[in-house]
Amino acid sequence: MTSFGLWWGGVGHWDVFVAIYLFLGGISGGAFLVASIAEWFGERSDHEGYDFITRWGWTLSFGTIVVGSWTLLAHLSGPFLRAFMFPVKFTNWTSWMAIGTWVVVTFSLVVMARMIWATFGAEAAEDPSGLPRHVVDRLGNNLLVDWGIDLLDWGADRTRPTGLLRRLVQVGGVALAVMLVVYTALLLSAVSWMVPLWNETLLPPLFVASGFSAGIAMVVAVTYWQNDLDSHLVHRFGLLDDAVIVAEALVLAALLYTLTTGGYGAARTLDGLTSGTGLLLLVGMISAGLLLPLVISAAQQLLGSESALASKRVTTAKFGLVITGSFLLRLLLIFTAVQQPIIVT
Amino acid sequence: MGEQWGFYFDSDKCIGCHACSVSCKQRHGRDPEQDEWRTVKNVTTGEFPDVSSLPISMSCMHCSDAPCEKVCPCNSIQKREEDGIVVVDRDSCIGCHYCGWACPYGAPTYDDGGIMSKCNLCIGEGPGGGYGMPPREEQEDGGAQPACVDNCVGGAIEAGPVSELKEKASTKAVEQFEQEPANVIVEANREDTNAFPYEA
Repeated sequence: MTSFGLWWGGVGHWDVFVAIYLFLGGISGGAFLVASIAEWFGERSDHEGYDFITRWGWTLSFGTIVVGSWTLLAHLSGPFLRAFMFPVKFTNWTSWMAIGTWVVVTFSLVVMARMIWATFGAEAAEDPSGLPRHVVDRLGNNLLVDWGIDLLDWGADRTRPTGLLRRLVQVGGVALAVMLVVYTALLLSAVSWMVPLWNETLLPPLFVASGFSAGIAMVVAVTYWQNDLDSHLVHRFGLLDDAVIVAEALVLAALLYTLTTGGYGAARTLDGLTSGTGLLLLVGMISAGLLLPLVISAAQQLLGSESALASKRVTTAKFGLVITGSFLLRLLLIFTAVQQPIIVT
Repeated sequence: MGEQWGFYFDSDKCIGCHACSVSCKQRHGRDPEQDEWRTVKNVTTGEFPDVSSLPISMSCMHCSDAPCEKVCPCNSIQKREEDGIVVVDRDSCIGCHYCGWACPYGAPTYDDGGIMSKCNLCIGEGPGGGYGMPPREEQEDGGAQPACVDNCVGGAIEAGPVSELKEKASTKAVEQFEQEPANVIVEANREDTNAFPYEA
C-alpha cells in the first residue's frame, strides 16, 4: 500500500508557437554553422559549390531566425507591444529568457551582416544563391525605390571586414550560432528540477545535434535544387549529417533512459511518451528524424551513386525527413513535458 | 530583511469545504467558476480497499527561494525583502508563462489578458494588488486578515510571521518546514508523514 497521494499541477504552459520557435532557432544556428564550414572549405578550394552553400546558409539562417523571433512573440499572452520593450524590460540576468533574447538579437545582427556581405556588392552573385539581392532588386523595381539596391551594394563593399577583423567575425559568429542553439535548450532545462524531460545535461547536446543536422539538411537541399549543387558535395555534407544524426540518436536514447529512474514526474512523462499522441510524436520523430535518413544513406552507400535511391528526389526526401524529425522533437519536448507532482502524505 | 510571512496548514482540521478558495475569489474578484489563487483538492492516498481522501488547500507558498522570480525575464515577480511575500508587477509582465513551468505549486494563473496573477497574502486586493504595497502588518496592527484564514471554518489555515507560526506548530512540522523551500508550515501529525509538500 502506498502512503501518499500525488497532486499533479497544470500542464501545457506553452503552445505550438514555442515549439516552432525552438525548431527555427535550432535550424538557424545549424544553417549558420553549415555556412561557416562551407566558407572555410571554400577559402581553400576553387569549387564554387561551397560559395553557393555559404550564401544559402546565411540567407536561410537569417530567414529562419526572423520568422522564429516572430513566432516567439506570438506565444506571449500579454500585451504584444510590451515585448518590444525588451531592451528596457529584460533585466533579470538569472533568467535564460532574458539572456537568450540578447543572444537572438546579437546573432540576428551578425547573420544579417554576413548575408549582406555575401550577397551584395560589386561582385554580387547573379545565381539563385544571391536571393536577398534579387528580392531587394525586385522590391525596389515594384516600389520605385531603385536606389535601395545601390545603397546596399555600396554599404556591403565598404563595411565588409578583411584580415583579422574578418576572422573575428567568423569565429564570433560561430560562437553565437552555438550559443543560440544551446540557449534554446537551456531555456527549457533551467526548470529541469521541475520537468524531468528537460534534462539539463542532455538537452543542450541534443539541441545542438538536432539543429546542426536540420541546418545541414535545409541548406544542402535548397542549394541542391536552386544551384544544381554537385552531387559529390551533397554526398559529403550528407555523410556529415549522418554522423550528427547518430550522435543525436545516442543523446536521445540517454535522455529517454533518464526517465526510467527519475521519480514520479519522469514516470508520468514516460507513460505519456508510450501512449497516445506522445507515442505518435516519439515514433514519428525517431522514424523521420533518425532511422529513415540513416537507412536511406546506408542504402545509397551500398547501391552506389547510379542507383535510383541516390537520385536527387530521394536525397531531398531524406533531408526533408531530417527537418521533419527536428520539428517533431521540439513538439515532443513541449507537449509531453510533465511537471513533478506535489507529494501529499 | 524583515520578518518573513508564510502560511500554516493543518490538514486534520481541513474539511474540504472550499470556503478558503471561495472567499479568496470574492476578495480578489477572481473567476467564480474555478479555483485559481487558492485551490482545494481531495488527494487520494492508499490503494483499494484501504483508501482515504485528504483535503488539501494550497496557494502560492511565497517560497524562500522563489523559482518563479529567478526565471521571470522582466523582473516582474519580486520576493519582498520586508515580509517575504512574492508579488507581481503586472504592468511589466509579458505573459511568457515561464513562471508557470518553474512553480512547484501551480500558483501562477493567467487571466484573459494573458498577464500573471496569484496570491499576494491579501496585502492588496485584486490582481497585482500586492505590488508596491507597504510591509505586511498583523491584524492587531491594522493589517487585513487573509481571506482564506478569515473564512476557514475549521481553523486549518493560518498566516503570519514564520516565527509565530513555528510556535504553534509541532516539532515535526517545523523540522519539515526547515527542509522545504516553501514558506508554509504543514502540520504533520500522521504516521508515515515525511514528504509534504514537495519532493524535488
